[in-house]
Amino acid sequence: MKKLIALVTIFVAVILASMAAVWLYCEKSLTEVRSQQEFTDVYNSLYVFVSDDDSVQTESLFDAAVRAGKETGVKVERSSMLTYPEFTMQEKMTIAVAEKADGIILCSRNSGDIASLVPYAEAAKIPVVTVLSDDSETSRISFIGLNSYEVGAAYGEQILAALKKDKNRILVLMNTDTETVQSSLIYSTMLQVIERGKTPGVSSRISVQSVNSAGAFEAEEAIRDIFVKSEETPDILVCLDAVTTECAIQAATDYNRVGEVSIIGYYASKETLDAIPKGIIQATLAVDAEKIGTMACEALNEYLELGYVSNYFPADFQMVTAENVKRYAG
Amino acid sequence: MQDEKKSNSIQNRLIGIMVLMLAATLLTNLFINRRINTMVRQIDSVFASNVSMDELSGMIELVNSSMFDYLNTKSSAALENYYRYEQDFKDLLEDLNDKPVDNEALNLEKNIRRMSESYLEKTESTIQAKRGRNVERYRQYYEEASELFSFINYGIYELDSLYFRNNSANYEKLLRVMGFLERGSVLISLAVFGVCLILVNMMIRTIVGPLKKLSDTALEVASGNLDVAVPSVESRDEIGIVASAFSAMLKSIREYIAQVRESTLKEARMKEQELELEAHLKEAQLQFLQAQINPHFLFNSLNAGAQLAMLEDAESTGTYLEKMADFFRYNVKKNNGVSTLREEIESIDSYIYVLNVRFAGDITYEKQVDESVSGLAMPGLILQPLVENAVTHGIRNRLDDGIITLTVLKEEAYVRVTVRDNGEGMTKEQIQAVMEDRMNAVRTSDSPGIGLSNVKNRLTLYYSEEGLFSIQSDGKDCGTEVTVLLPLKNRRNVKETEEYVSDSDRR
Repeated sequence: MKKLIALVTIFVAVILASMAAVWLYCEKSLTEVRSQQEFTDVYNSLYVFVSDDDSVQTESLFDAAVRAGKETGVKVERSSMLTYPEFTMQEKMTIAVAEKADGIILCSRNSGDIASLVPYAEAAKIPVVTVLSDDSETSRISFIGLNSYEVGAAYGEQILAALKKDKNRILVLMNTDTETVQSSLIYSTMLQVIERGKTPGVSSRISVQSVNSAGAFEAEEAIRDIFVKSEETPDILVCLDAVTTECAIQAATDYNRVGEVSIIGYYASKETLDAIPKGIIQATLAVDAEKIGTMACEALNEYLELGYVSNYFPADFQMVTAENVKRYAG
Repeated sequence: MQDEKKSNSIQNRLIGIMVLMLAATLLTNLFINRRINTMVRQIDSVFASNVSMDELSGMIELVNSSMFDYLNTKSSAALENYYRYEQDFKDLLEDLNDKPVDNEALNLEKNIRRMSESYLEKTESTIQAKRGRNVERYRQYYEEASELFSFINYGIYELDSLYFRNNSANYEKLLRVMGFLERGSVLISLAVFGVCLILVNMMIRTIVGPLKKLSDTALEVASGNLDVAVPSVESRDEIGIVASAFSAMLKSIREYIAQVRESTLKEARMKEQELELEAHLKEAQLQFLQAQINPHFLFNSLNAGAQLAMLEDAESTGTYLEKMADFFRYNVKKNNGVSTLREEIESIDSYIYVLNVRFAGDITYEKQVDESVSGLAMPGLILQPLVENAVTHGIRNRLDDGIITLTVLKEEAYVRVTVRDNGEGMTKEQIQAVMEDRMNAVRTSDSPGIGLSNVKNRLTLYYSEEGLFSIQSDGKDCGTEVTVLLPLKNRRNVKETEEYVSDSDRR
């Protein structure tokens, strides 16, 4: 009898446990389903990030802006949240205005477009902060980006360091989208520094090639051609954006030109940083994209709070070479 | 106690277990039903968001087309439609989220709502411009509104797709949960069924087990084995009551049978005693009848002889014949076996007188009798054999100095009757043989008397008591003393004495 009572007790316990398990599993599943309609944070303001670039640098910048916004109760989201179809920058600005954004962070690769984009927001009295590229003639409230002169000087210094023999062929890859005032300023400063700093007797022939890194596979094809045609392969290759830099690293490796071509790149992506200790590239310009994103968000906050803000915030950068790469790689 | 029995009754236990099982089944079903209902409701609502997106899309289409109609025709109906659809669209927008939040779908809702509000502002401006006949303006506004309309449609499409993806995933998840719920419900139902089965089994075993033992025991009893042990039933229900009653009944039957057996044995023993007593009496009488052919004829003849002697003045002869007649009359009269001590003594007197005549007065007979007990009833023909034995085996060869002494003494519970002679005496072996019925010391071919063993046995049978007869002798030529104890308070003795006394009185 005692055995039977024990058996019944076990059975009842199993039933109760099963019922509890079923209940909990159902509740958990229902909670998961319902939680899709729930949210944890409600934001006070909305900033729209309008960009025509989806590079690693831009992504990093956007993520930093999102984090900075979250800390201050601001939702930062892309205007390209409507992913279909590919909207133009004008359409993205229209959408951002229609969404009644409290502020717009404009990240255009072509500074020439900025003048046509800012008026959309201006009409709706939405403040605009430009990042990386700028048009100071527009009514944007602030610009956060690199000082083109300093960037050009940094590249020039690296080219000087790379000059080895009597005759050096230097090729500067310029993005067709970014061939604007800033890139021109960078290029001219670069030339000045080289001319001023090169050793007498050392000649350098600098040429510029336009590459459309935003176009489908165009950058990779153009750079492959540079490395395939040996008569055109430069001694020093200067890349002014992240995409061309990565393409150059890959091409130098693929066509066994490591050491022959000194590559000076842009942006400290992981691949780029990995290539420096291996000697694939000489140096890269490390832009603190996260800081730019944070500063963009803070600039809008400041403007909305105080009604004014400084119209320029210089962004820090650093040339990463074999000597200091450990700091970045770490 | 009664209440306790009632609460433990089989009926209550059966009702209790049934209620328990039904409650368990009911609760399980309620639980499963509720879970299934919740899941079904949730599944029903899974695609509700897609439905609302369709409504939103359809409504903004109506707004846009009615605006276009108005711009195209400027009809009142189109304007009316426009305002109606605009209001309906606004109502639908009210259900959409308007805050920037950490949720992709809700953010899309917010974007759609805000863009829709911007769109409605544009359409309103377009309508107003049309009404104001500002052609350039309303065309510009219409283009801007159309652009927003396309963006909103993209947004709705994207949100609809997002909802559909989420909802499909949710639907699959809910279907999985339903599957799990189904399997869980089956398992739980099986487990409940198992528990109910065990409980019913336990209950039936509890009820039927003792009942089966009880029936087995009853069958044993029915087959005649009353010594079977009644199984102990601990339950206080009806079966427990039946078991204890059966046990008590069996005990009573056993006691009754034991009583019947004892009384039967007692009766048989008494019957046996009666038969034995009767047999001994018959034996004694037979011996007399054999010895004295027709004693009636003999003592009547003796009486006639006595009267004749009296007529002829032969007094001694007359007395002799009279004593002879008395002696034989007593023997004939005691056919029923009951006499008194007085009659026994008188019979001895007559017997001694006859012997003295026979043996020329050589037998010396002395008696000491306590007359207070002379009326005591006793079996007949007890003392005469003792005297006959004393004469025949004691003093026959020495009649000159032979003395026979009869003593009757009343003691506390008995009357002690002693017949003593100073004759040849008896050895211990002879005494033992007499006492053990191995030898009839006094039975000889020439003896008309009754044996001592016969006397002893009759005394024992009559009084149902041992030790009433004893023989003492110190050996050869030391004489013999035979003692008979007559119980004063023996039940039979008292009864016979009373009857006898009343009979004597009647006579």
